[in-house]
Amino acid sequence: MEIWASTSQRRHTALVGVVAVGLLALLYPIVVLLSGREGTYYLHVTILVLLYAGTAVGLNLPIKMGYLPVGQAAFMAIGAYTSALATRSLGVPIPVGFVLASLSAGLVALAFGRVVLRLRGTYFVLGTFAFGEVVRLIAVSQQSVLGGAEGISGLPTLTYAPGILAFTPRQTREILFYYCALLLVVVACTVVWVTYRSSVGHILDALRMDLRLAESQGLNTVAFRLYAFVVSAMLAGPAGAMLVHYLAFVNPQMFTSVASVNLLMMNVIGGSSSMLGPLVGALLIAPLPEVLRGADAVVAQILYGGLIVAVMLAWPTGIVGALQAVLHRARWRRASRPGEPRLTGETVAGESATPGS
Amino acid sequence: MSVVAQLLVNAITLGLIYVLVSLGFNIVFGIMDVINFAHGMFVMWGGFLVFSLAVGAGLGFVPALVLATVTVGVGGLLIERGVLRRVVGRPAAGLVITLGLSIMMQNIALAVFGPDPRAVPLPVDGAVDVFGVVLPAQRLLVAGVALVALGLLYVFLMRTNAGRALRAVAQDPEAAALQGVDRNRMYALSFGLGTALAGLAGALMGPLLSVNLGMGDDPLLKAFVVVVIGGLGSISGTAAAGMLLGLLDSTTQYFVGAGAADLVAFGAMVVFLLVRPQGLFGSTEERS
Repeated sequence: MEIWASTSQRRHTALVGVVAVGLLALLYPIVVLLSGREGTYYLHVTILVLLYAGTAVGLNLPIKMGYLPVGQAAFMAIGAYTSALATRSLGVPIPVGFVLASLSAGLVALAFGRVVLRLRGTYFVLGTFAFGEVVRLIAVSQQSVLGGAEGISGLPTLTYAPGILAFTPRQTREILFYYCALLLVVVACTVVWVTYRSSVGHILDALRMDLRLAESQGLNTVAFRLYAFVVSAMLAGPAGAMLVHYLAFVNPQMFTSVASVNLLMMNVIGGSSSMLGPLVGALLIAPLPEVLRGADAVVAQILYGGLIVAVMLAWPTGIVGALQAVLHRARWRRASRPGEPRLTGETVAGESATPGS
Repeated sequence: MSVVAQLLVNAITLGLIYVLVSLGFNIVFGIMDVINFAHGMFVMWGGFLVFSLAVGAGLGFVPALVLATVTVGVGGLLIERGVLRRVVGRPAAGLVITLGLSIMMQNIALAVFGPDPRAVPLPVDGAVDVFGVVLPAQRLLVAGVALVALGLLYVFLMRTNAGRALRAVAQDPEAAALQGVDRNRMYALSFGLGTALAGLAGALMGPLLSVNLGMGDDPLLKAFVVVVIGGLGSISGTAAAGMLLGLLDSTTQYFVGAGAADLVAFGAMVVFLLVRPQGLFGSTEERS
């Protein structure tokens, strides 16, 4: 009995938590900007964190089914260039550009996914890596439309002429992009959460654990693999578009393999067995390029590298995975007092990112 | 004629360096199933060590080369012992850990050697007349050293017990273990050997180009291409694909420009993965 009570109580706490976080998130830019001169900088970093968080949460879909994509920045690039060209050359409004970014990235993922998802394990890693490089190199070498290595500058950005409260135009722009990025994260979390709550989530788990077995059960695994891959790209596309409209320029350097690997790292360090993992990972990793700038950052960078190694050695399931294990053990202990019904030992997910076989 | 000969020598030296880097990468992958994202940093450390030993400590080029190679290999051995051994069989963790190592190694090098590019002088200079064709002596020296190293590696892998054990683990870890091959020792050997090859490649690249913090980035990317086209775990395939990429790179660089070569290389990589994932000479037996 006590277990059921505590479960519904936890649901209640979770709901209160979500509402509280939501309210905080909505008020955050106003509070931060009013808090002082450093406010603009914090808001800037927050926007970057949110954009990477949205992409990283989307990336959790293929990781859940045991595939490790190392080319996700390419889908950000495809979205970014699509929106940049559509808004600049065709005069499309920026929000429509975001939608086009999502569609274009999704279409490319649909075409490329059909072939690359045939690869497993390391071959898939290398295939997506090569894809990321090809997309970047096309952008580098195409001068007339994509602007080559210099990219395209002077992109239209979001403005609101009457201004918001008494904020400067620059602050207004940051507030607008903050809400765009927040919307992206909310959409990403909702899509992924709904997927994981539905039977599709269990099917993705099954694909990770044993692809052949899942196939032999009559599942159309190709469709589910494509679903995860395409949705992850459709979330990466608008993130890239928002990034370049926010900065008002785009170039291939923004979407290197380093960005792709960082997105994967956010999942693995944060913990890839749940949606919370990439959020925590993005919060920890995305601000670093901004924070660790300049020559005196060498020691900090060395520590950062060491910390990555240490976290992976100490907590193979990532930060969230390790915390979940601790919570689970505590609850198990509480529930298995004499005279109480025992909780069945629900296994803590192993390293979910490990491809099967 | 002299342009063709020049181009060919450039292609061969570049190809040999790609082969060294990619063989190291491939040996580590074949034995440990780890995609070593830090491999390029071992190349860079090889370059800086040969600079410190040859210019700083005043050793001759060849002793500095040998010492730098061995030092990088020993460093790799220690890293395998301390860190990588624990993540064998967990590709995601292996990928992220080698990335963390790469960030550490780059910044430690930045702290120790500073951000400036360095030049390493070679004991030879000028041009050599080979059968009526004038060739740059420096490139011939580098190509010669690389060939000697590859020859030694070949003899080691094919003719010694340790080499046979290494190949056995790459082919079938369980069967090798049943024959009494100690898997942990093979992990150490493969990582030490793989990183030593990267270090040697860096030490050879240094004098030709320059020693700098980013010098290992491009060879790492090329190693991905070479390993896929040659076949994951295939030695002869790696050698062939490395030379091929060296030829492609130096000719397109000469006639078209650097970006085009990379585009062709990575395009070829995608095509190979989709059409012939076992690589040039790989068997059709499935690996994953």
